[in-house]
Amino acid sequence: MADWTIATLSRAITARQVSPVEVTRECLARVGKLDPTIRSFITVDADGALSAARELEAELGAGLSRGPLHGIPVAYKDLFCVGGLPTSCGTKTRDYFAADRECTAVGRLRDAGAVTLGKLNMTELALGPFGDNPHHGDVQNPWKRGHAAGGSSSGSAAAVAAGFVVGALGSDTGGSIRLPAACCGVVGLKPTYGRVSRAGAMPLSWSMDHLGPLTRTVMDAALLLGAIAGYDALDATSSRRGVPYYERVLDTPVEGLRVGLAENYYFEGLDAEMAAGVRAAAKVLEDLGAEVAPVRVPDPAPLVEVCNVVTRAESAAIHAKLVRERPHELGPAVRARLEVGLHVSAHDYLQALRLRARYTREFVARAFAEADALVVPVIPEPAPVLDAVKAGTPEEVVGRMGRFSRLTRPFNGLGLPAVSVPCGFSRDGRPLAFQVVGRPFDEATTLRLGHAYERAAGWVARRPALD
Amino acid sequence: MLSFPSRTRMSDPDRTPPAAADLAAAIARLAGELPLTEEPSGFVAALENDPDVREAREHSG
Repeated sequence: MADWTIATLSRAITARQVSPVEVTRECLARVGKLDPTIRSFITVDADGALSAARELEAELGAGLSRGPLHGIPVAYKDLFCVGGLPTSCGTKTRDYFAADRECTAVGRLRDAGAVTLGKLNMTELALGPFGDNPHHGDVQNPWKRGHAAGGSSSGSAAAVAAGFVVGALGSDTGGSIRLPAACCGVVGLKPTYGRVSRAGAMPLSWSMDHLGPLTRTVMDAALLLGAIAGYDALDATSSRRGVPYYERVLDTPVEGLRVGLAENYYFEGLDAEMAAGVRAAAKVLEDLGAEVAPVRVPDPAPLVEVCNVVTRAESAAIHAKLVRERPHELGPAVRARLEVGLHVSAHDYLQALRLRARYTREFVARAFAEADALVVPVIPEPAPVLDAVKAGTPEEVVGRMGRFSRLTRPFNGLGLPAVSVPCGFSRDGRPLAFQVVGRPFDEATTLRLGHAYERAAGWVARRPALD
Repeated sequence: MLSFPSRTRMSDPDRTPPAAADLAAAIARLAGELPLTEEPSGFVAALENDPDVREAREHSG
């Protein structure tokens, strides 16, 4: 199971070399054996998964296939509403979030034939980039125990890296898909704001939240994005733009694509091994024919301040009841972050939104004037030690959170598509990663570049030693 | 005589934390030059109206 990708497993299922029930049983057995150490799942739905797998197997027997996701085992960050399962959102409350109906993205994957194995661990209320959780256990990095899996979609990244599932969905408000993907050596895609419906997923910040896939390969991310993207009347911010067949453009050569290596801000204070890994990735793209050049992008620092105001205000409004009535149930740093938002004025919130609009227009116009996509780092250092990032006062921990997500947060403010792609390992075996950032709604180009790099570099064949 | 422990900052969500004041100061500094025409909803419009996104590659879905 650990060596499958969605694409290879799909071919094997279609050819009837393996059955959805066999695959599901093998995944469940692997979770049962290894997840007590990794702690990536909050809820395992063995009965539901096997029932769905039997139904899908019967369909295949009758000559019916739902497409490339038929019989594919997936799982969801525990803030997606999944029919019949509780949604803790990483809190102490077993069923903290309830929606009127199942999450649109979950429903679309279910309709496409995906099998739900369960719900995945996450940082409490999706507020934190390290993957620690005082209620459900700290998710361990499959590549190096005792190190952060990254957050907040910690379980999503760890479960894919550990080979428990071949795909997972996560959410990204300040980097929460890309940060754990980078820490755990998997692919994580934050689509353009509006590309994927947010309906049925716990909101943390309505205007910053993005849902997207975490997978082993870029091709797999393309397959999942194609299934979940597109207009949804249940999300007022979902775009009516058409959705490309992403997987069909991935093999188009990258020759001639203009790639900007954003030097200012993104490489300042960066870990030396991480910087070398990202520059080496850019060189691989250049060797593949892309026109790679250093560029200066508009300073993201003011945008990050704007993001902080918007996110704090919106998250405090959404979770006001919890933070006011049961603050003792929250971890100290999460509570500190939410409490700040209670004091953001309407005036400052509106000014922040107006600034964000201006910065977005300026960034798109300037950064993409001479580049089709940007390459930047994802995390400032490889996965840090869990005990170290949790130590200190709440203010110290919150400051550390902000520094760790400083490279991803700007693209939530800008709403641009960004995919995190593994690009090697540090000397002590922790994954390195870079992100490809594209124009609004141009996920296709970011995926194409990521796919070309991935195939040329060959890191994807390496797996963490768990068994 | 009964005595009650004073409430700490962490347990008093109604007390303004320094971080909130820092955010307000940042916005005051940055928003000074905003034109009257800039609207809060401009962010989504900026994404949807980018003229260089190649619609030709897309299909209705």
